[in-house]
Amino acid sequence: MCSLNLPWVYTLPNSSGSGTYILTYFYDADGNKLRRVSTQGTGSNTDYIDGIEYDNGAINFIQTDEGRAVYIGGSYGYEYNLSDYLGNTRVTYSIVSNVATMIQQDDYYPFGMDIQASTTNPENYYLYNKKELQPDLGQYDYGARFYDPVIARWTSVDPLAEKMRRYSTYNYGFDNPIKNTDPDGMAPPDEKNYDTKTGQETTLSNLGTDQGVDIVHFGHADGNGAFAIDNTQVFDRNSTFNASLSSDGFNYTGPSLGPSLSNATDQALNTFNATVAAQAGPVDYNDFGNPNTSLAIGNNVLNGYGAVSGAAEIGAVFDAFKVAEPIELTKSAFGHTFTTHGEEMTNFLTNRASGSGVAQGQFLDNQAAGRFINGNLDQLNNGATSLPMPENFPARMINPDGTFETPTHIRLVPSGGGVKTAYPEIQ
Amino acid sequence: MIIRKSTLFQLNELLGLNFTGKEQDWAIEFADPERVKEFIGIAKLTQLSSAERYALLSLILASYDEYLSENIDDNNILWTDIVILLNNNPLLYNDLLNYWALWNEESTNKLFLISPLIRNYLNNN
Repeated sequence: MCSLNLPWVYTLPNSSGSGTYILTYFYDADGNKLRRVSTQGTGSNTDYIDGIEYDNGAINFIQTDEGRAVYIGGSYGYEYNLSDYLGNTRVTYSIVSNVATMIQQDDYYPFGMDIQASTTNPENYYLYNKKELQPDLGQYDYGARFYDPVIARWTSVDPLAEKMRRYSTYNYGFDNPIKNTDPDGMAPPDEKNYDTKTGQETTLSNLGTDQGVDIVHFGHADGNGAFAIDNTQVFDRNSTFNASLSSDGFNYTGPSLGPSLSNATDQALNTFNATVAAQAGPVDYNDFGNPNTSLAIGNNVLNGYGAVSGAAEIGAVFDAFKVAEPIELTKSAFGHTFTTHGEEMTNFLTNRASGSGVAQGQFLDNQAAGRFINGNLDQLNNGATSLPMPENFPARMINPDGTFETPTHIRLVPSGGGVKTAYPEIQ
Repeated sequence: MIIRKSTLFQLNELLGLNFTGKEQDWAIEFADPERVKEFIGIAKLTQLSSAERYALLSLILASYDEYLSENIDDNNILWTDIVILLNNNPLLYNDLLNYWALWNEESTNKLFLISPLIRNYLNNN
């Protein structure tokens, strides 16, 4: 392995059965393969330059969107690929006398081992997922890693291993090659779900960045489609939400998630169909599980932190979400916001409102306030500003007489890298 | 001490600030690191009520905290002047100083820049 954790030098047995030869790969600094050098026989070099391949300095073919243009005898012959839904090259054909002629056919075992039915010359090695098969190694080059379809494992650890801690760092496509691919050796692409009723693609959206909510991918590849929320979770914006899969259905052992959480029994999920309102207000998770099992997470859960809608068939990978990692509430970023207007400052603010005669704003969720502030720093280019407060935002005004009111705005006062104070107010 | 709105309006004229009456964190919002020396001078030379003096010291401490974020107070010249003001009536500023000291905060990155100075002052007085 080289420093990029990519294959570098191999010593391989000659095809004749006696002796060995050296196979060497060269890459650029980004890990793009530039050259393959083999000492087998009289030796050969293959150069890779932006979709053009050269053998021993002479152009071999140029890749095209539909296949490749093969340089033969001073001209190019165009080849076209027919692929399956995973992008695997199944049939390669060319046009001969205005007739499409099959010149190579490939079938595959689920994890990509080739079952070649026929070949052409020069053979098309861009096969499983349209990745280049390294004929000396029997491995596919995906870019970030090489993949061995015989053992269904990558040959090096996942560069994004920390993002998929539920899986082996060497697994391919979450061990579900019928459903998943891996376009670059880093991770399977984002999931697409389809509503089982309408057939429309459904998406996960707006769960995030500006409200500080992360999407967490929960794959479940074995067909049980089970889903569980770990214990000790409070499924609202005040805390993190963790979830995990279990093999026996939907389990929930934590505290109440909301007034209408019910029936969280272990029913395997035949389908899952969830909707969270895009805007604030009551949100519901309905119709989890089969028609006889409904899990509803009721009012005021999430409070409009985005939208989720989706449906997944049994065995499909589906998605859930969690509140982002807590923001560190430093003085350099948030100044006096939380030492004056934070969730623990009720007594201080009550006294200040009473003594000063001025209603005082209080954030009731420091993390939510921190996310709001961070998400609106770009509004402060022209100095302090008051922004409309999102509906149901956890904040209140403490009046001089001790009563509470709902703020209408949040005032942000900028400092060098954040705010020097921020507070709810009524305008 | 709680600063009343009427006190702030009086200081508003004296200091030439744009207080509208709605600002909840007057001292923080009008803190100006470029006017620390000026504010100290006004505090030294102007006849002020206790409430006004308290409010002005609030503004001075907030301004000095911002000053330290961008400047070095060579030989603690400004801080020495602030200490003189504090020493005139340390009891008056007790709750203000304890606010800035953040005694319950152990993590240094969660302190204000002047918190160590304030803590040191309170420990020695």
